[in-house]
Amino acid sequence: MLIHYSDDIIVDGLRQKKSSCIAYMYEEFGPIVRHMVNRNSGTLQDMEDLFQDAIIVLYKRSLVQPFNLECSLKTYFISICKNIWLQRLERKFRLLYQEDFEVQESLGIYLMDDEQLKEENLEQRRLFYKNLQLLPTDCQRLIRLYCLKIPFKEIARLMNYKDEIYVKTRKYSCKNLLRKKIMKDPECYQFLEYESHGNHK
Amino acid sequence: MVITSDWIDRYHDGELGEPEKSYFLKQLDKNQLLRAEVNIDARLNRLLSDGDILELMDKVEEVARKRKEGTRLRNPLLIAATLVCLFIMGTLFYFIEQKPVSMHTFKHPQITRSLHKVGKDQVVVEKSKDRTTPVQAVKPAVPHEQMQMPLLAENYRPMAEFELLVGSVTRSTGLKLIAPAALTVVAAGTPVRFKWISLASQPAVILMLMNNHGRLVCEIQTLHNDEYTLQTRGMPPGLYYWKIMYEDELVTMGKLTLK
Repeated sequence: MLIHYSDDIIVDGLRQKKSSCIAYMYEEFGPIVRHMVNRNSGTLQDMEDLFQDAIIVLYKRSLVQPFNLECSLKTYFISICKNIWLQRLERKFRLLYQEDFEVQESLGIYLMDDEQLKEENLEQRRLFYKNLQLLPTDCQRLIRLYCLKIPFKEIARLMNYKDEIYVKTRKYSCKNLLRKKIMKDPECYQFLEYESHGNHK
Repeated sequence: MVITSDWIDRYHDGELGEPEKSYFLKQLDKNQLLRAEVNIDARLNRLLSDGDILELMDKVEEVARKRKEGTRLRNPLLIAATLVCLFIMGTLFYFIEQKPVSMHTFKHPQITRSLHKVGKDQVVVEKSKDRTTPVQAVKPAVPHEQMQMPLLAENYRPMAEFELLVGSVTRSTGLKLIAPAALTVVAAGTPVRFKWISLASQPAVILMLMNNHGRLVCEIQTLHNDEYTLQTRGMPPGLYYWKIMYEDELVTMGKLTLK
């Protein structure tokens, strides 16, 4: 039997990244999200992706204090899903039918400061993450440790590598592997095109 | 100077020397693919630097995977359960259908059926939707006694209920039986003559013949006659009981032994 969680407990649990709260949200909100996606000819994978993106948005929003809900969490979460989904549909439609126009407009969005929670960035983040998971386990671990700003010396000790120089070399090769995977991923082509307009720094 | 894959990382980490950096920037302007890769790397660094989100994504991924595994496990179980249910239902249905078909005639308010066995494996089903028309019992092509093939001694075993009535004459006064005797023994195949006297000019006499188990072998209605010859050809040897009925009353009862 599913234990009922109050909205506050769910939000607190999400802040602490509790798996039980995420699972509860899947159970409680999942059917509505699935229905919404199905209605727009989406697939089960689309629903999973949308759900993941919406959880990230909710998590980010919940960290901004004060986080006061004026409606139920369910309504709030579904409205996040709906917004992302509609933006995604619109962007995919534009990608398919108005490519030139789309590129210019997307460049504009990219330059915006509050880009973190943009639908496009959420998707990009998810695709990068997917490719990260395709790396060999030691590569994944090394990249994660490096991103946590752990010194090379400590990484070498944790991963039983002989020295810092080897860690550095290995890190270069792992990141190179990840970049290549992303660039070969057909789902990431859309993002590569945006980047090809000289906006590298 | 050749740009290797580690240059991109070093560029973002600020580890390139001045000559390397200026060369790299020149190449960046010229080379679209390099530019795309550098931008991907920049975005990748941003994603990876957000350890919180990465951790959350791990958790969400784990929950989604567990859910999928649960569904995968549930589906085969559901299929297996359905197959077991179907098997049980099929078996039950098979045994219900295999119930022996009675030789009796039966009636249904809507549909009247008469069933009889023609052979060992053949069953004839007749349907009649006419509610008012009674269905005639169909005589078996082969006598039931022959189909069952009982032991010969079994055919001569007397039936207690009928033995009490053999030879007795009821109150019926309109008819008097002359032949045969109450206890008649003849060879199998020998005709047996039934004769009676009646006060009525057109007596409606019914002759009923039963075997030693009380099962009706034949029923003969004899109108406008005062005698009837029963052909015993084809009847298996054994003990039989006969009844003479007149105006729905039993006149007398006797037994006939076919040797």
